[in-house]
Amino acid sequence: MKRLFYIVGFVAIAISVTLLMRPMPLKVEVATVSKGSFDETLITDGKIRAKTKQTLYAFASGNIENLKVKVGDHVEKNQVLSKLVWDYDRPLKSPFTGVVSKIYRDSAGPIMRGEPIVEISQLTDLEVVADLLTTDAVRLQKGGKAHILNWGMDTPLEAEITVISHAGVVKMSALGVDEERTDVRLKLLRVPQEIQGKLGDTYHVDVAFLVSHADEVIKVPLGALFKTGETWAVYIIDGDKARLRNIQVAKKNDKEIVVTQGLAVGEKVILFPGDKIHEGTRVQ
Amino acid sequence: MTGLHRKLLRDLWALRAQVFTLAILVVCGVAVLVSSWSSYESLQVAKAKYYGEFRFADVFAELVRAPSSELERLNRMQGVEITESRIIKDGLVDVAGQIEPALGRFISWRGAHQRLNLIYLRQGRFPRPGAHLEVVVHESFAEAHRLKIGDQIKALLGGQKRTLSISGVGISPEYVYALSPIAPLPDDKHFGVFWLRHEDLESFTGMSGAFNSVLIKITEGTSVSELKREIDLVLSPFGGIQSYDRTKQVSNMFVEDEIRQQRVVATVMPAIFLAVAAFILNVVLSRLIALHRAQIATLKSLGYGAWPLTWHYFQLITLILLIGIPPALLAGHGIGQWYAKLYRDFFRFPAIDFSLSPTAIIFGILAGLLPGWLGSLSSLIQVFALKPAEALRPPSPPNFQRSLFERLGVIGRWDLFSKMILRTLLFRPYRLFLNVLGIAAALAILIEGSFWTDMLDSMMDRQFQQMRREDLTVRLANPRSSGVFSEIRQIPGVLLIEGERTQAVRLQFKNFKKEISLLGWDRGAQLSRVLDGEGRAVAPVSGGVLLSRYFETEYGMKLGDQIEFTALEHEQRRFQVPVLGFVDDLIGQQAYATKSDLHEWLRESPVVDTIQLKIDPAHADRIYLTLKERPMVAAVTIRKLLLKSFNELVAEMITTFTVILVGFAVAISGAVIFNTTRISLSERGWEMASLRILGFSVKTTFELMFIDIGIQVLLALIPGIAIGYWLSYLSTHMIHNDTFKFPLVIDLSTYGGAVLTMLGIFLVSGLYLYRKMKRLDFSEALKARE
Repeated sequence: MKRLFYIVGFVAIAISVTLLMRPMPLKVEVATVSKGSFDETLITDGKIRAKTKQTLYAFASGNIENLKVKVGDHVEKNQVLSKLVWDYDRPLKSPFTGVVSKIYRDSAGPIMRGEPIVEISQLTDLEVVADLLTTDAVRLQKGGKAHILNWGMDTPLEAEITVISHAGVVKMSALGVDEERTDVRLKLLRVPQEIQGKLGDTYHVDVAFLVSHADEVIKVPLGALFKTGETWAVYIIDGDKARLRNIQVAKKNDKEIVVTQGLAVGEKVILFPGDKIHEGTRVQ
Repeated sequence: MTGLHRKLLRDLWALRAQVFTLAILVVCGVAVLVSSWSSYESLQVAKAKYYGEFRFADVFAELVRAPSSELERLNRMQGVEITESRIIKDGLVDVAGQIEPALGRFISWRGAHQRLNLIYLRQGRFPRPGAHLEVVVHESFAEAHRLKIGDQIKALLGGQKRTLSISGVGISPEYVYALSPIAPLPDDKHFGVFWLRHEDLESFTGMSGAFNSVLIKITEGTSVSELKREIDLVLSPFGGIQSYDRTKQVSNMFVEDEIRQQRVVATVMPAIFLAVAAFILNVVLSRLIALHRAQIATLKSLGYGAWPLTWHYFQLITLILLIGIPPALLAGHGIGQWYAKLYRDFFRFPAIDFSLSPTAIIFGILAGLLPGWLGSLSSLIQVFALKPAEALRPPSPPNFQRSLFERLGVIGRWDLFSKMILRTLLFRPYRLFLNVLGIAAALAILIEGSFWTDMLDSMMDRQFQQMRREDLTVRLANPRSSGVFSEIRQIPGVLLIEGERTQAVRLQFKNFKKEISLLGWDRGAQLSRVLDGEGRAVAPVSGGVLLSRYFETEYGMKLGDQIEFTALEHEQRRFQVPVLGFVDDLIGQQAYATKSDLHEWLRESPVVDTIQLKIDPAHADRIYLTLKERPMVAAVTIRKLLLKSFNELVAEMITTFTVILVGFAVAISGAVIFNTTRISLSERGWEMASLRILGFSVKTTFELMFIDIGIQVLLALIPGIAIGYWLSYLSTHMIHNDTFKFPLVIDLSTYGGAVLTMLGIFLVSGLYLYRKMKRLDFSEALKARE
């Protein structure tokens, strides 16, 4: 009995001390260091634009009838849109198949020669126009590749730069300051048939320009990085403990970063290590 | 009766050890009660006085813009006594000595004509027209930045950078608790309230002759909900969102919460302490009566009546209880002063006076006495009913039959020592049970006192390390298109960028309405996540909303129910969507959806209003400076700094609070274990002395008692942990906020620490026991029985 008591008592003390001293392993989110291709990208806003647009003007002063179409309506080549009446009765026809993109005048009444009436856009020939800071535009070349994202569906579209405008324009940024910007135009490559009909004029997209490409590089998600002093570092998992590892990095895109020194393929890194993670902390 | 009086004093002295431990318990319980109740009262008084003298409004409404002429319509409404229109504008504030920007709330002030929400000036004077633009700054911001009268700060107001000169430092009943509209925690360094001359703010915001906020004082007895509805009708064409009353005014909510919590603390904690005290008193007293049986019988037969004798013991009990009261009041006063200091730092009242309220003192005394009296009732009845003749007979020998264990033959082969211990333990199972229960209760209180830090730790970890992993949060003045992503991405040092769209909505389901927030975010968002109860990331689901679990439990919503939402903004767009799931988030009342769905329901293009960034620290300053320059940026919050600010403010308070609580818990544990030891000693003194005479060594007799109590302590460990867990669970339920639900988190180390403390106290009691055993006076002990 005596021995039993002392044993149990001792065990209780031992367990309590262990619980008190030894902290629980922390739960962490983990990613694996991988090797593969890496695209450095520059992402910006863009618009889809119909390359071919035509504005129909009044070719004589007279009376015009009500416009038969609205913005967005599909029109066929030679479809009658309205009628201009002066000495003659001349129908106003659509020059090609496309979509009504702008209406300047839709009500019946007198009209002067030269007034614009309606703009038709041809959707079969689309291009993407992106708006870049002039300092970014110089990093791109004609023929450079890009991905079109967030145009409505999940599959990115491929595009190629056709023109980099060298005329800069001052614009107000989204956050309210002035910036010098310039246009970059891209043509869409290989647009599948079923998507053709879905894209329209002045549709918003995101353009991810491919600035550089590398194969077989070691890369890691950006979420794993943090700074110790002046250098970048990550925490790798060694068994059940976290270990600090200094690394050297190179290019980055919006998700990953290329690691030039310090990590090997297959090692596990902790994503977003919190303040509680230190060298040697137990993790799971 | 002086004979009895002398006996009283002598009994008291003989029991001094127990009296001391009981006094500690009474001190703990009564001190907490008195201090909490007094704070509760002082807060109520301070609040009522402040609100009354400084004309705190009853109803508030914010809108986009209305011409001042509209005020007439509000004035004419039934039940409206006073109205006051004003202009509120938020802007980034640049303070010397701080690189990252702060958020400033600029409120217009009408000088001598101000009728509601008056400003209490602590230093300086009100703004005057002149060469410099003058402001009164809220005290919490001024203190956080050590601003003096005459200091200058820069603010981005109405698209332009302006230099403001501080003419005075003040506070207002509207900001007793200066909580930033965007941060969940007080952050005095990054949020400040400023009052400007109405004329100045008018010109900056281009709101001459217009207003965007209105304060209303209502006449007594008006139906607030009816009035709010009418106000909303008038103001909604001007972009009015929802008017609200004091119950939804942020600062007031916190004050009310604190008041309510103090009330709970004043009742729950002392109840626990005093219940334990009553229990111990009961045990002590019944043992005492048993010991004094012969004495009482003798006195009765000598002619002392039943009443005088009962009265005598009653006086004994009362004296024991009263001994604890004066120190309790003193301690209560001390704790109260500490509260007052805390309140002065947290809540900005013109003056908060802490003094022990007479009501609290009366409650305290009653609380100290009543449980004790109740606990001792049975013993007093015994004294009263004792028949002298019966008592003078020696008590019948207890039943020394073979116990169950022995009959089973289990311990047949055990040594004598073990048999002795076992028999003594099982001899009076009821007493064993009570002792174990007492120790378990003490352990439970130890656990309940220490788990608060665990819970706070876990909440902070969840909110700031797991849910939010960004370095910066940028809030935009209005929702902007995704052009902001490219713009911010271009700033060197920006690593990761994500955006959210949040919209205040009114949720309507059957006959139930509530104003909540609807968050639209992207699948795959890493920087700002929504977590469920287990800590796993929740992905948004398209085609409907996810709702906080709160809605399922409180309002019986089910999967697939159609909910109607009305966006609380200018156009009040409505949409109806199904519930696709529930999330066990802890911050009660939210709705979640994909960003694209939200854009579709609100019929808007893809826009964001909140952006999270992960940045390279080397570029941090440059990034703050760049963001500060952007007119569309309304606020920049730096997570690390928010956390640091919170730790500085709150952590110290929580630590002190925990130390006091644990101190009390240790006192109780000590009292219980020590008492058990002491009482066993006095009961079994005769036994032990006999054993010593028979030849048993000091060590053996010591061990007999030590192990006896030790087994009771060990037996109490498991039930103690269980009760501790249950008590903690109860506490989280009682002390909760309307919006927060506190999760029950007890770190294993807390259990470890509590058990270790108990065992430590036990060992110390063992030392005391050993000393007593060594010095056991045989002749005295042997005389105890007749």
